Amino acid sequence: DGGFAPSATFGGGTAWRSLATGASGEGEEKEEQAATTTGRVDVSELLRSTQSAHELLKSFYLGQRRGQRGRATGGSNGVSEVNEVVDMAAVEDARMRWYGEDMPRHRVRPSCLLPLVQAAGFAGGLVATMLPASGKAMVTRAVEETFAEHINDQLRELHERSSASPASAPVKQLKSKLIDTRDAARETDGESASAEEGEEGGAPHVVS
Amino acid sequence: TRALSSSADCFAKQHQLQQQLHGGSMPEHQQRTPTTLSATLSALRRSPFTFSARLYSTDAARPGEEEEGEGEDVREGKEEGAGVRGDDTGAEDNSSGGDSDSLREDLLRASMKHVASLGFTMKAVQAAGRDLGYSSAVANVLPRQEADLIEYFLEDCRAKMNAELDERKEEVAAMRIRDKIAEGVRIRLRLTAPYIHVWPRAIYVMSQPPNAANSLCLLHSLVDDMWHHAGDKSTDYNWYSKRMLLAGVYTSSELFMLTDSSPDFEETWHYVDRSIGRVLQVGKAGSDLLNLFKNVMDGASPAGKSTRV
Repeated sequence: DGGFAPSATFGGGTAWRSLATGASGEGEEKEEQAATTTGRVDVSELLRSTQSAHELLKSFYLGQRRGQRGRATGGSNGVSEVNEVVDMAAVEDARMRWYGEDMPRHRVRPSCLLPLVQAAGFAGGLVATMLPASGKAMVTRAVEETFAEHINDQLRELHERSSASPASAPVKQLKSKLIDTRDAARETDGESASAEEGEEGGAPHVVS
Repeated sequence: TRALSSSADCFAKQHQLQQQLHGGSMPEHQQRTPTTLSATLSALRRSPFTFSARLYSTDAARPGEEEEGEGEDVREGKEEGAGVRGDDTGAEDNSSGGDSDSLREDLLRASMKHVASLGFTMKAVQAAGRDLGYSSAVANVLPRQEADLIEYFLEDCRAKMNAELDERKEEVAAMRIRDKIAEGVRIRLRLTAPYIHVWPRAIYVMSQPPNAANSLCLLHSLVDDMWHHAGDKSTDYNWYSKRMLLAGVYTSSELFMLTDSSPDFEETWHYVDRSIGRVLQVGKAGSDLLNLFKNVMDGASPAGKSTRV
């Protein structure tokens, strides 16, 4: 008969017409995939856009670090000044580690514009270091607040999508991770407090 | 008239076979042959050249054609009543989605039995239709004709590959990355091997402009599954480069297989190993170059050394 035997996992009337990429997984992984990549709650776009925004923030810090290093080498105390500043790019890199676990688990592809986003963030950070201290602080605060607003938008979207059906465990975990990412301390957290007290200028004071 | 008589012959033969299967006394809930065929023929009304089907479905003189005795055949649905009474308003079109899907599924599954001899052509589909007791016009349920059949085969092969890789998960986990990828490619190519002599036509059909987008999507799904089973956890541009490179390896291996006359396609498996080795070298060289660029951007001073974790 030609030796063709249709697979046991394939054969539904609608299955063959979909071009979905989900491969069959074992138990828990399959349940997670079904819960987060079906039409009920689709988090692929959410994860992709959040990762892009976070990459932009990290690249912004990278650009700032590069710009600060370039300016610090001109003085005798340049190296020590750079050392005093906590490497926010490395801090954000550590905070982004959860994308490396969640995105492959949910079979979410990264944004194809990621290199462009990284380049834009790096260029923005470089430009920010050329500004006066107050201007640099304003730009940095604006970038961080925009990132936090983006996370809020994603949380709102996730809440709307999951409100129709009971939220699954993976969705709850994703929500908590997004909240932790949004509320993590950033570079200008200390600066905003000092600005309220009337201080201006000076090197950025980072609260770890 | 010829079409009508052939349809009636198919109906009679099918009914006879069912009676033989059940020892001459079919259970009531299984006495659904007449309406099964009529429902199917009603589904064919949407396609041209179904004059014979319309004639047969409007024949209300068939015995035992009652709605109550239809059982659980999903292909019947709400269509059977319309088919029996000759209702030609087309209202059954809205409710025949499920019937149409199962008909297409059965037809495609049956078509694969003829692909080895007739190729991925509409002849195989028509032969399958005859096997199932339908008119040759049943092939019109496939709007994209051979492309639908080929896509069905490709999706089924992908499902089989995933199933086998899941079964051998522990064995695959112990392999190196290159061996995992090579195994995935080999498993997939082995599924094409029985039809390799008719595969060139399938490649020709899927490379046509109307089908190119779908074939690229299917190729993407395939290589994505292969990398997923290999444990890939990329979240940057490597995600794209890995899949593009593997797509190149797979397609070139498939083309190589077309002209491979070695026993059990041994040369093809060697070619797969060589290709993957070359690709990994290219990938490593690319990543080394990018790391060099990043180091230059970060600067060479000790204070500025990246503390990437």
